[in-house]
Amino acid sequence: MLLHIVQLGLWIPCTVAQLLIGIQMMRRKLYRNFPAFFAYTLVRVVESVLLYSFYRLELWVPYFIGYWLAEAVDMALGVAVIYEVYSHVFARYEALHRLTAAMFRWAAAILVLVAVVSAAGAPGADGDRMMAGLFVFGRSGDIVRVGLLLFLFTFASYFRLTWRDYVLGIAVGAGLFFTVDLAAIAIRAHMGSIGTATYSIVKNLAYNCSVLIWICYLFGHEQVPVRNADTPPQSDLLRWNEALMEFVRR
Amino acid sequence: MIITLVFIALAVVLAGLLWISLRGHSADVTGAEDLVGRVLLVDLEAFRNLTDPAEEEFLRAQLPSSAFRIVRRQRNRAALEYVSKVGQNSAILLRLGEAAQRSGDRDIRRAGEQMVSLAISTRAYVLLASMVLWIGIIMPGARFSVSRLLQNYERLRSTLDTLVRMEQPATASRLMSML
Repeated sequence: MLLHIVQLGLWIPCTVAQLLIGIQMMRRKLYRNFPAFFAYTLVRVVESVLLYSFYRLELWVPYFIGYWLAEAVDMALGVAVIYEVYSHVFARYEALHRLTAAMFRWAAAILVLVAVVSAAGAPGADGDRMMAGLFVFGRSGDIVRVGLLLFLFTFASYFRLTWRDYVLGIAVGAGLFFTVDLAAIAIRAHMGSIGTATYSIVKNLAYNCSVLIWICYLFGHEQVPVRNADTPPQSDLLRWNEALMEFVRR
Repeated sequence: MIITLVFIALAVVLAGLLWISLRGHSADVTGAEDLVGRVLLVDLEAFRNLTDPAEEEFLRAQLPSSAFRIVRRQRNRAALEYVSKVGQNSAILLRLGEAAQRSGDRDIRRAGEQMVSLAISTRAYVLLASMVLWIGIIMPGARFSVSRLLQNYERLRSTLDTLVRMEQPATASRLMSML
């Protein structure tokens, strides 16, 4: 009963918060700059509403199928969000901008390989092979997402790249969730079914924290570097002045 | 179990990087005057001498192999200090370049863009040069060169000179002497 209350307590406010994030992004027209994150937010809201409906109506088979389908969709959208973050971080640097797609592809390819090897090497402790396979699938997705973010943060840290607030907020929120989910799902896969309840709570807690981070960044004011008032160079001003004087003299 | 621990370690490392990114560790540089006390003096002549392939070949020919290995390791360790200073300076000049990109003057903005690009490529060469020098320390007999880093850093200094003369011509010589 307590577990049920805790899960509902984490589920409903999180869904409402994400809906508010989606509305805020529409108000500030941020969906133009961050289409992948906007899509991710809306899809998560829809998934949450559907899964909650199945849960309340005790439709366990649709809930089970819906949960893992949602995991697959979230995995794909999560990678798209990370690529969006890469693009925004590197877009400001001409020297790196051209390398964005190539770096991302190479990093993703290596990480998929790592994920496949780890799936083969540690198939999980569930007695039910399907459940074991599903949790290993979830873990593999987290390896790719965490690895991509690890590479990005390491790269940005070494090259001292600056982050715009919104981009940093999205990256930190996503990073927190993927990080905790990776650790939790790895432990769950190792422990088997006895770890399911704990995994569920830890995952939801982490996601709630991520949503809170996104709200703080998206509802706050972005610290956009302010360009000094555009004044033309002195030489242009002098030329214009001379041209104006000549016009006046006529 | 080991794989589980590896994943947890990965998660902890990423969490650490997230924390560092949130805190930030970049120098607050808004203009050339902010370079004072931040940039480190790099004796380019000494650095060039330490990494000169011709000098290295001369030593290789003149010294017995055991003595050459000792000398090469010492030269590479000294060169690593210079490389580290170049890396730190380029990180600060990256910030200066970004600040210059926000200027109202078109020429200063252009110089700023060039500086940012050179600073990033210098950081990349610093990484490569460090690896090359460490290989030279581990395997003193191997033949590798870090001349590309020197060339890039000299171009970065030249761009800084141009930028500083546009922004603060009166103090340009003093600021350039700090590098």
